[in-house]
Amino acid sequence: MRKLNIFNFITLNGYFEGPNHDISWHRHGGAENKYSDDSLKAEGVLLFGRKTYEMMYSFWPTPMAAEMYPETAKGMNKSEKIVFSNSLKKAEWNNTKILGGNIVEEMKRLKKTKGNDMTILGSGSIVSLFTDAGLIDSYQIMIDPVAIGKGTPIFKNMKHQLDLKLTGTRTFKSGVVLLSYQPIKIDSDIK
Amino acid sequence: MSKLILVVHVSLDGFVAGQRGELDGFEAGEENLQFVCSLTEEADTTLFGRISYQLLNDNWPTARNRPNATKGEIAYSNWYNNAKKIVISKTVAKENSNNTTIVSENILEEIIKIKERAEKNILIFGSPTVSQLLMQHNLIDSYWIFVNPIMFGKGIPLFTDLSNKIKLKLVTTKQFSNGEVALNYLTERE
Repeated sequence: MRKLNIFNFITLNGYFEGPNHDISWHRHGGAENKYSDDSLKAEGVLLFGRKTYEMMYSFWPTPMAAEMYPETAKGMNKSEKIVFSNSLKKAEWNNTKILGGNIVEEMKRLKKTKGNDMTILGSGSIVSLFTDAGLIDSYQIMIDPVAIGKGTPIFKNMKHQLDLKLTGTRTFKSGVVLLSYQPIKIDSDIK
Repeated sequence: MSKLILVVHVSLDGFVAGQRGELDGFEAGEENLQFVCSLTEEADTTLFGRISYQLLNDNWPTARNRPNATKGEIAYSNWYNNAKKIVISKTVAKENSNNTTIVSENILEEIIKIKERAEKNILIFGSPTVSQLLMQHNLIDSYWIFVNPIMFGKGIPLFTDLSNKIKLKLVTTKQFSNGEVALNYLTERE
């Protein structure tokens, strides 16, 4: 069974983005980059909701991204990607598929197929949806040393409280702390 | 001048309590309490909003008398009884007993005076409304945020609708056996 993981960075007050998708508060230094690059080298499949997809697509294929973060840009562009959307007709970014319809059922099906593990980046609404469906196998959350005024909570509209088991912590020089968790309860019918 | 330190439990998604103020998602542990006692050793004053005061005051004055009280509970209970207690509230009746002062007006000015007068540190426990006010006015010097291994989805947020971004500096982290991670920050003052 393929694993479905979440990787995200949030503010200390639980927002994954500020108004207008602002993530300028995130401190992405050398060590965090290396961590992302190493994760990308594992050749996992990257998953997004439409909004995160559009934001990422507007950056990673550009010459600016290639110059600022050459390794990450290469990894992001090359990786197999899935965007969940009912409105997107065509995904122009290299190696990207669109999945729509009942995405919880689609994800259950995907997890049973052969392939590499999958990681959701950003994408608040699908994170809550898959969490409620008990489909997430691990959470990797980077907490930035900042509180912002307004924003979108990472687990917005999640229906059930979720108990987690801490599996690791890592502190970066920038003051970012990476916390890794596994959910304690996973629905038995999808195991 | 003494330091004002916020000590608070939050869920991974940034809530200090569930929607109805429930705290059952947070698991207290002796190891964590003993750690909090290492912070209280440096403090002689504690400050709360009304709700956190009522929650703590229901338990801690007498916790040390319980037959099964742990070492941490006895130590914290002793500290609590000796500490100067400041309650920020417009509705709690004035009381001068048990070392307690109620502040209902000129809150910021009063807190600045209290900071100037206190000999040791001042700890705020929980109290999201008061914390937010003090944070916005740059009066909190450091933070111990205990991130619990749980997500609530909704609840009472620790910080919300801040009028400006607040940058912090990570000092250290501490991991507990129950899966809590305490993050210690200092306010970055420019």
